[in-house]
Amino acid sequence: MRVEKEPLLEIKDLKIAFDSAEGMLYAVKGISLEVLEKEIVGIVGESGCGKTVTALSIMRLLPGNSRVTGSLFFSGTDLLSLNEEKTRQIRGKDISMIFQETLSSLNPLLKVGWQIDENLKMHTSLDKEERFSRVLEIMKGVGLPDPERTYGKYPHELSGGMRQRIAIAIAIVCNPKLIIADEPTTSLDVTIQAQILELLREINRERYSSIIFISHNLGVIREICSMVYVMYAGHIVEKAPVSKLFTDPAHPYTMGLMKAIPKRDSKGKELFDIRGRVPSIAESIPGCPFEPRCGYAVERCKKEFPEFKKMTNDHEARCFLAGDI
Amino acid sequence: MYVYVKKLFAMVFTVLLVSLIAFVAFEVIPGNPALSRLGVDAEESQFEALSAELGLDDPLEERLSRWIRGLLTGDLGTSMRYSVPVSDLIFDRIPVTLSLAVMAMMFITLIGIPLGIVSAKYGHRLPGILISMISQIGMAIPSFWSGIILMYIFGIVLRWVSPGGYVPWSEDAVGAFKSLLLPAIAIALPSIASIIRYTRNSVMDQMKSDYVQLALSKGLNMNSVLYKHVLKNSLIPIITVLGMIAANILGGSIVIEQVFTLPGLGRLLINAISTRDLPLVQGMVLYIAFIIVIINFLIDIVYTVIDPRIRLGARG
Amino acid sequence: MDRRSINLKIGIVLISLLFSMMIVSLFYTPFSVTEINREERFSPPSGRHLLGTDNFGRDVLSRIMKASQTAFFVGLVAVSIGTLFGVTIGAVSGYFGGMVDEIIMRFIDAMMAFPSILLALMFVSVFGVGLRNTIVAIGIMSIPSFARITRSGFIQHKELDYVRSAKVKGVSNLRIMFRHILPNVLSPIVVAASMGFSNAVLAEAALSYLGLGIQPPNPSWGRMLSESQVFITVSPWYAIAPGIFITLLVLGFNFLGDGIRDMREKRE
Repeated sequence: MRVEKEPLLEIKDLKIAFDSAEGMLYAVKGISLEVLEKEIVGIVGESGCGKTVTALSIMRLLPGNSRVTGSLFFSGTDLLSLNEEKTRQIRGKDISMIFQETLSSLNPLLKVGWQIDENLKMHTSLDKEERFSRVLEIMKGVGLPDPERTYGKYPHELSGGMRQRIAIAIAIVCNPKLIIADEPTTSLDVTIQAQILELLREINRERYSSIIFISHNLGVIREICSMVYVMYAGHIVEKAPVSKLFTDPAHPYTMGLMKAIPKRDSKGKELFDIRGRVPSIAESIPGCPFEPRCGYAVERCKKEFPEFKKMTNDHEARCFLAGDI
Repeated sequence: MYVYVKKLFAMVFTVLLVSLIAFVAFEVIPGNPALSRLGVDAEESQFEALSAELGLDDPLEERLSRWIRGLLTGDLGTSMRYSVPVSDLIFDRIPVTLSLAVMAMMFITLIGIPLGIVSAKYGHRLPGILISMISQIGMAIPSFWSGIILMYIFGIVLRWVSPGGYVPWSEDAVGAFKSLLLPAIAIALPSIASIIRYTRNSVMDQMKSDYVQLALSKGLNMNSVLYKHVLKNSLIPIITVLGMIAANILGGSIVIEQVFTLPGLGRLLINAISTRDLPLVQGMVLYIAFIIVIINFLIDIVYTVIDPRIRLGARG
Repeated sequence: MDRRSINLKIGIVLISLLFSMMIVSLFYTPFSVTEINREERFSPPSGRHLLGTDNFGRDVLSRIMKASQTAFFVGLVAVSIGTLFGVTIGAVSGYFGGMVDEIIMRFIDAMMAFPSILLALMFVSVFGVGLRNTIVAIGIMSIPSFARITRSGFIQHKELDYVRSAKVKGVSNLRIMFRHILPNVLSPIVVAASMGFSNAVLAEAALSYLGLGIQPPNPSWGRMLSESQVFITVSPWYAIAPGIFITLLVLGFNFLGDGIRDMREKRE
């Protein structure tokens, strides 16, 4: 049961647009979400739904032609109103991020230990020896064998799983309150995936860091998140505690995603695929954006965009037929 | 280690190949060198004597083996015009061309690369575009023309340096520097422009990489990211260009030495070609080839030092 | 949209201006190019002689106009040679791969490592100077870059589906190479041709300046510069003008090449 507290991160009606040659393109069209302390929140959706853009907007790392409106409150501070310098103080220290591809997100020409150290150097006033021992400590904490030797290695010398541990080490070394993990396990194989998920769970437990876990894979979301937001075409279409989401999905899109998870006994059977495709950022649709692909759509869905319909206290879905399917 | 050995072999192979081509090419030349030395009115007997002396009548294989033997001992033959060993002539001229090359390279790296970085930092904003435009113009200006103009402005109008002529380093260091400054600038200009472009493109490319985002997410400011992360990664393509630029400098000095009448390798080559002094031309071409090969080899070594992926072998 | 196509526009404008000047010079020049006029030696730019006169009293502007014919001609033919041979070599190398590719590329790499002027000089020293040899020398000098670009294009495309299906249909290799793949690789080749033109202009100017390129009576901007250098104290405009025109023509083709490249990138 969720206890009502002041949320760590509160996003209200966030809209993100990109100023381009074709005009303003809205990648995120007004989403609201909350992350409490010590919570692991999942954002799930296919690629192109706006989840990565949302993550980058929290870190204020969007390109120069982006326009962000709405409110983004972190521990009571409006992130959108901070100047560059204050934002940099928060980045890496209070909020940090883990990226999907470690081979490209780690600098190939710098030793991995150094890359972790850089974070400490930025945000603390520890001297060289203190930082060194801290880095080794963290490396041990994320499960890297033989930290002393690994410190001096370059990214390409390590396996994918080890690189991801380094990325996690970089993200947690300053004890952030919030970690944003963008598809951290997507490019890893299944056994390593399980280890990394366990590591993240441990970090959440022992260090009290909240995590926003972004993925397109509901199966992984189920393993680790307590609260889930489902995104589609720049909107949040369903939000629920993870158990409810899986027992009682309300939105047709969520149901479609669940059917797409390969189950252990589905060998030989066809993989379910939601027919149709995600609408592109440039398409503007009057009604529900999922309508063209929805098996349950009715006339109303083409013309009106549904508001949130409450199923229970913390379970909502943006569908006229939510709860009835 | 094995990689180095392979490269060494490739180097030796290239030099041998070039010498072979140089040898064959010049043997094909219409017109007997002895004839051009003696003139058309020479007596038949004089002509034959000289031909024999120069070994022009010997069978091809013998001349070839003589040539190769000469290479290995550093004997590049004797100049027809000066009657002096080719290697001597070359060594006399090295200081001038070498000084020019070093000075030009310093201008190029110390001015060009920083300007390229600044240009990239400002990207599509005014300073960036301005520098980009200037470098476009810089690449279009013929180097010998800029040499002439520079010489006119600074040598004749302003009289800050003497127009043309060379003062040896051993005589007067300051004078030597002054006499080489303008030519070095003229040689450097097109390459400065070119390296500004390359650096700008390379840095702007790297700025789009993922590791830049990660670095920013740690809270670094843009300058730190630029200098601590992006720069090193950008250097690799720039080093590639340095090889091309070294070749440009060599080529440029051939022409510029003519503009400023400097006694360097370039002018020697032009004289040799104009007077059809075959041994000299052959020897010079070979020497230049050798230099190019060494430069490329050095650049390969720099690569391995800078990029740990090459040094340690990429894991994939 | 518009900001990026400015390269193309500047290039086209510059080239058209100079090209028109060249065309006009075929029929008309303000003064005779060869007529010597002792009284008017070294006169500075004036209403009568827009760019002044040279050491023989000849009108500089007229000579420059005439020399533009050489520049365009040399550029055109040299680049054509380079394209013809370079593209063919690159296509064969890239398409067939293997030992042939290795050997060809070693040659190309060796050629590219040399200063291009040196290659041209070597050719000229063996075969002699003059218009024809200058063009051939510069043409040969241009071959490597075309070969490289074509080769990489062919390597990319030969694994693509449309090539596979053509092979399965039994289309001959030659036809596949030149009817199917080549049109897809044309864009970078065109860019290279534009840059090649400007390189050719610069190379011809340098060779002629050294006295080893275009010989009298054929006019050349490069040779004008070497003639004018001696008299620079007396008539600096004579030394400035040819250089400006060389720069403008080279700039024109550089901008054109850049512009085409920008357009292509935009489309992707």
